[in-house]
Amino acid sequence: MMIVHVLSGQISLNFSDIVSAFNTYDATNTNHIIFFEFRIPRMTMSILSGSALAVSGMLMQTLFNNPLAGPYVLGINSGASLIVALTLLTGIPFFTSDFGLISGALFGALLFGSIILFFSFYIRSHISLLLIGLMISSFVGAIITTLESMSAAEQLKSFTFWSFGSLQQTTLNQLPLIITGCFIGFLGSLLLSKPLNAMVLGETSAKSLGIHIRSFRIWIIAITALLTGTITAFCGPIAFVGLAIPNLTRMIFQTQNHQYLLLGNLLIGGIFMLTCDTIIQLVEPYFVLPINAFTSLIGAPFVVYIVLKKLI
Amino acid sequence: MIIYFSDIVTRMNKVFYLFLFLFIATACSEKVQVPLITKKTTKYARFLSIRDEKNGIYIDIKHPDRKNKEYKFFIKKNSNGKVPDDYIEIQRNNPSFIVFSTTHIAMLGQLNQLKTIKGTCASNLIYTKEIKKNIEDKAIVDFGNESNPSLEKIISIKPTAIIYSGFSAEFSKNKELQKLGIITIPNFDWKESHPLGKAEWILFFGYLTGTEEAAKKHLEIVKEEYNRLKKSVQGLSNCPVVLSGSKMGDFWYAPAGESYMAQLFKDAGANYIYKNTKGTGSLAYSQEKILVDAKKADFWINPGSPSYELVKMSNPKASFLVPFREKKVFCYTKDSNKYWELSAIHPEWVMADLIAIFHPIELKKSNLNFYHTLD
Repeated sequence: MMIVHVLSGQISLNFSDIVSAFNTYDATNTNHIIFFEFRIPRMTMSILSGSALAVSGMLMQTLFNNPLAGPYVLGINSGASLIVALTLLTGIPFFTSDFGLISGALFGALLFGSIILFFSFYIRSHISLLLIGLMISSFVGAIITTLESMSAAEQLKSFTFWSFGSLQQTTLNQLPLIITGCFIGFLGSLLLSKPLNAMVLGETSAKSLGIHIRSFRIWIIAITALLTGTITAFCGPIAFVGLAIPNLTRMIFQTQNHQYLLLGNLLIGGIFMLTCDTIIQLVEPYFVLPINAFTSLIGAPFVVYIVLKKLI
Repeated sequence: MIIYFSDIVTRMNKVFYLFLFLFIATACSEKVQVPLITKKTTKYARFLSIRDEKNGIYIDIKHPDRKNKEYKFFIKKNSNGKVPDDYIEIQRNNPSFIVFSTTHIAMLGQLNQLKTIKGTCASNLIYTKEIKKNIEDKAIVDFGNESNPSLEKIISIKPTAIIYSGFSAEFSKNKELQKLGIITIPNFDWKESHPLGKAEWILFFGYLTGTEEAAKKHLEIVKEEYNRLKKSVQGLSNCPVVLSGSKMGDFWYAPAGESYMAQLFKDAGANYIYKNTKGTGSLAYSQEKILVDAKKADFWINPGSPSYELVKMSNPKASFLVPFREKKVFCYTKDSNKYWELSAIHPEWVMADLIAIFHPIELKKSNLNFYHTLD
């Protein structure tokens, strides 16, 4: 899949280009530049974004014991988007740097994750919590719309294009930072896999197994914020991956063991985004298909399917 | 069924009387026919046609994207004259306008008719100091943006006409304004693909304000200078390869081969990389394709940012483009408002800038009107 993705695009590359790029990289050779500076970051971001959002969704669904939970539904994605909107639409210089953008998106994700966590302490009904998440998303959406209406055309254009989502903005130099952020998130999720397994049995059972629920929740929110914030900062909002992939993984793997689920989400999330982006690359010469729209086109019917399956 | 001959005769009689009635009715009505002999005043403009006839001035505006959509306006030359069918009369006694584009301000300014502007929009995009001051002094109303102007404010001004850019087919409050007798006129100068066609829209403002002679004189000077500059670079062996446009989202948007910018590049003696493509709008390509197609580019025009740092910030992969590496990137961003406002009525200034950039031997770069090398 990775090879198919790397070889797809408006400019055709062949194996000899890739081999020569590895052996003798020439900074003036266009094909070498395309391979290293365009295709490799794009492919890496496809895998990382799919995996990170799927793992975030898995963590949220276990924490709230609800298959319809996810960073997008619970407003964590919207929190990251709000801070990015504030930076892009108000033009505060600090946030326009890589570090500023990622820290802003992280802060937004963490802030809104904490808000939903705060509500989860007092509200037992999962439906009510999801509704609160949706209301937070709507509230943030209203603030963003207000900011948009006050913005200059150029800033509005930048934010609109950012909201389409993109796997192509990242450069080779930025990859180490993103890989580090995602790796910490994945490692943290792996370390939390046992408490996550216990949480499937319910909070009371988890407590009796010695899990400190409050600190466990804080860690889950922190890891979700790190993964979602990192991806949102560099790729923009990507909808439905965090909601649909964990459900798909559970359907395929037929297990509640989070060690397997984590690996499954990493794998299926990565493959899903690689497939989506390969399709986008193939249709590029004919029409523009934003990644955020494409994942929603596939994800929304899948979520409807899950809901219907549960009702039937 | 049996049909008798007498029945047929009776029916034919009825048809005859019907035709006779229609003929008399048509002959008696006071319809004014549009004269067949036309004296078109525009040459390059595709969406504007003005005919100065004995009975009045016919202004026909074509919608660029809707083939059958036309807006027809008529200015009487004497008060007793009749307005032709399908035409809307425009009064030009003491005219006043609300204009929704800065190019309209420039055109009225060139004709010394700024006093006719009673309302405009997006004051932060205006270059003309007089208009900016009048907005500050509340002598001119700032409507914010074209898409949703305040109807109450429009009624309080009661302009002769509202001239809008026509991004959508009709002006947003068109129906309400029609009831109040306020005319809305679309202006498609921004859709013209020839620089001189864009400039010809000054005639439209000339006829609206009764300053058509001044408009014609301005246009004559502009055309003469534009064509002189064009001739000066014709036949030069050295045609630099030019890349244009910028990346937005995942795609690079470049002017198509039949667009306004492509025409300017051609006339300024440059070899634009997408000169052979069809269309007057924009082309959307992946940045990988741009990298390959612009391999031999000497210049990059209109990246949309005033400095190399800002270009790199919005598009980090721009640094792989040859003109970026060789610092041969030019834009109008030192004073974008000046460019957007004045470039339509002064295509010869834009042309002079481009020739100075592409052929520095012919013209010196020190006196550029709009363009500058990025900081």
